[in-house]
Amino acid sequence: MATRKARRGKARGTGWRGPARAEEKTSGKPRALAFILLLAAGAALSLVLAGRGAPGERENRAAAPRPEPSVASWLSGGFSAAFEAWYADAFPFRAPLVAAGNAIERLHGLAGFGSAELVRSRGGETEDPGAPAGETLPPTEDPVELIETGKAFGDFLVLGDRAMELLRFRQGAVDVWADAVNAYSRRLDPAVKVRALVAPSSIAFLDDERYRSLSADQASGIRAAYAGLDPRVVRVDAHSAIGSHSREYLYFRTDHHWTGLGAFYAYRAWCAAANLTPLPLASFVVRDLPGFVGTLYGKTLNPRLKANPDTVRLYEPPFETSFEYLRHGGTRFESGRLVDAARGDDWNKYLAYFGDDWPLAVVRREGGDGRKLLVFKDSYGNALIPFLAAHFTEVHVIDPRHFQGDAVAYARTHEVDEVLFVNSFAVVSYYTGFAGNIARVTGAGGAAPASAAAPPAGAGSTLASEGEEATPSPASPDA
Amino acid sequence: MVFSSLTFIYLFLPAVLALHYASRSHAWRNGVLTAASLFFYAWGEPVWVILLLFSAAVDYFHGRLAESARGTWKAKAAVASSLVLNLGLLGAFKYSGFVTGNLNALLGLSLPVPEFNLPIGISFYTFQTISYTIDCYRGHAKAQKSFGKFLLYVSLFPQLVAGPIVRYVDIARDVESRRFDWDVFASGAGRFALGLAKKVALANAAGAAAVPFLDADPAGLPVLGAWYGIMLFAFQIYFDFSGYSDMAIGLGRMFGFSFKENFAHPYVSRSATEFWRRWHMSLGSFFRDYLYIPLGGNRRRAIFNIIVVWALTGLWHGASWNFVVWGLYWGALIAMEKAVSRVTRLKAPAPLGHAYLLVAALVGWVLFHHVDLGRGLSYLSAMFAFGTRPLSSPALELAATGKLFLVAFAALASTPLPARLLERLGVSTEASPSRGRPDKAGRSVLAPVFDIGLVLLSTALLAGQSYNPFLYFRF
Repeated sequence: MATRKARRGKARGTGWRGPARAEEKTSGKPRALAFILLLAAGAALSLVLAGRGAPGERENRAAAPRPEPSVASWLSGGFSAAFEAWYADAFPFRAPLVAAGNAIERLHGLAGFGSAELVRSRGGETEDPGAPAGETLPPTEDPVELIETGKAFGDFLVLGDRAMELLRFRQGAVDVWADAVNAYSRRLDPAVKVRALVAPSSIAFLDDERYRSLSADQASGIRAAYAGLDPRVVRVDAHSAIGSHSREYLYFRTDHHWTGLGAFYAYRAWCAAANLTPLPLASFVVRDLPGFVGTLYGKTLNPRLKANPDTVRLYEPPFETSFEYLRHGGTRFESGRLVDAARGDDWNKYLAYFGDDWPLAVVRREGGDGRKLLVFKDSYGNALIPFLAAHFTEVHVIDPRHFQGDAVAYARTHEVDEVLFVNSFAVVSYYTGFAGNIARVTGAGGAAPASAAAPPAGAGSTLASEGEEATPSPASPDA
Repeated sequence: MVFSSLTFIYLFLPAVLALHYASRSHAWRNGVLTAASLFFYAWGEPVWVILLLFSAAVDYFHGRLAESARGTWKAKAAVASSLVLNLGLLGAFKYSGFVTGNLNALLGLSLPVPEFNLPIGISFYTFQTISYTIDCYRGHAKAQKSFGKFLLYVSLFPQLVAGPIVRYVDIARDVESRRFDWDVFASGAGRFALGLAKKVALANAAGAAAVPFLDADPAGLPVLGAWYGIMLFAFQIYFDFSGYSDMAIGLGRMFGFSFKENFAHPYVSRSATEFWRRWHMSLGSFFRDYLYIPLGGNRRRAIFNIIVVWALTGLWHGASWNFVVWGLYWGALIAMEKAVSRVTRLKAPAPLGHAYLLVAALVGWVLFHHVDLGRGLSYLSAMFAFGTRPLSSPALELAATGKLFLVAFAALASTPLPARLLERLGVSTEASPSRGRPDKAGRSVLAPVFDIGLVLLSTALLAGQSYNPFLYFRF
């Protein structure tokens, strides 16, 4: 086509210079045409099939939306960034392309000693590839921002069919966490018992010291976190309790959470700290859910993990419970089952223990002695709640990342007797986003908490429609 | 917009190629390219596209004045005015924060430190327009009468944001008229594919692997870990930058422009002098022709000239002292090599020369990478702390074995060997130097397979970059 144009152009004297030696010079033509065809095919397919390549549930995120052009969004540069994000997500054959890209990257080297392999987190690009080398330095992302959006910087170690997250430690981060817990406990009635449990992750119990040393030492890290807590806050030594069973199936191999069994040993440590007699494991109703391929497969895309799925073992409490929860952005409690084997797909079966990281959930047990527990947790807490429920009439569960309200007022209103912070080492050891959220919902972020006696009528806040005490929107107390 | 993006490869480029080759007249083709280039620029820099237009307008008029008033004071004034305006632009947007910050620190002032986001490519296009006005003044270039054509030269998207620094004289003929040639287009496509793969498959991979070492606390790095990290950075910056130049040259050919080469396998050099003849050649020759020689070159105040040229070469790379130190470091090595060559005619054996240059380049990259000079120095001390700290660590061994083939391949790809191999196989992407035309070797049936393979490989890796699973659920 272009030759014809070129000849025609020449014939009309429109600027193509030189003789058109078409016969002699067509030997580069197949190469040029192949390239043009590739671009044209890519362009056509991407326009026709746009949207077929959306990120799967594996990525735990929605596809980037197609941006609406506007003068303001164009001028801010927001439109072009959003457009590129949309196009990348909507690109045809995205899943096989991602798989191919991953297969190519696996050719980068030997898989370490034995079958060990180090995988870098795909945490989004921080460099600007458009800048000439050296002219612009990659912006460092704010660590708080990183944890908020889940883009936590991290590496993963794959050993055989097992992946582990490598964690980092900063004294400053655990201090922020301890301060947030202290500040909350100081706002509570002195009679309320406060306990804290920092849950170690799987790499803490790896036998091989060489590999374990790739990650921050969790025993000393947890000690450092506990050292900053007020004497009033009782420390739960889950690390030792889990460590003495380290041969058992305590952590998933393909997912970054502990198993129900790992949570059970943490529960026993909590009982020891609370002077309670734990229920024996045998009293729970066991149910196995095979075929779980979790988040660490999503992160590493290692075929050995996919070929060797985990089994989720559920421990259903031997007593009746009711379970109510708020969805994200929801204003009305919904009912469900605390432990529910039907919840979650193969890639997120961990949901069976408790469900999503609900902003707020309440487990109620018929009978009981009337005592109430308030738990602040990240997803590690989810597998622990069914065990804790045995000892209380009500267990209130707040996920500070998503809860929109005043947790001091909440504790007073519901007259909780005990508070437990269950936080994984991963969310407190390096980033301060989680601790910041604790401070936010507990009013310890610097400003005084809203008075529990005269709560503002927070229309649209999470609890308003329940007829319970209205809680202020998170912005107001911290503003 | 960046070349190494799905948007560029599968939307922008095919659209511009189609519009360009569907245009019936040369004026239309130029118009399509100019409009596309401005769109390309505004995609990433929607506001400061105005600076680009301003800089083009300034030198369009100054170039004409410098030519028409040649020999009079007016021509000199035109050059001076162009320098003031262009360097003023660069100074305001790139260096004002650096200068006020230093003044505050030095004099104890508290001037407000301006914070501009550096407009993309400003370091490149201001240098290009300066070179044009000076060339008009010197009579090396014929001033362009048409603003449209001049704007095409300044804004031409293949070379707009990351070089090479194209001089007007080199493409003046192409701006006036271009010849379509399947061979040229084919070799351009091949060159683009090669540059794309260099950027996406090598530079990005090396960069990701370097992060845990470069961003670690240098005090905790084992000796070999420090060397390993900076070696990966050396690969990253070379394949990134030379890949970009390859893509620019390839795109230029696809549209009928021929740009000069910008890199010639710099890591195979045996001296600092040779390295800078092979690294970012368009920048080196700019400083040589428009600064070093006018200052008197090596005949007058040679030491002073070397210091000025290399300090500014360093500073061009970024508004920070570490770049100045990096530039002066290279200047000192080159001056030293000159002094040695004057004293003795003996040449070091080749392996020694290579080893010297590689160590020199890696030490240089440490200074270049670490904006904080103190951190750079402690990284250097980690590299040379033989005996006082561990040589290796489990993390290093795991990382290094995990990237063994990547590193070996990158090392090989830094030499001229792959280009020779490709030529043998008939998939050359080089222009034949004797005829200035693409080599016949680029016509083998393997050539399209090679190009498509590289583009598809890069596509898969680019798609992989958008794969971004969240550990911590986001709702």
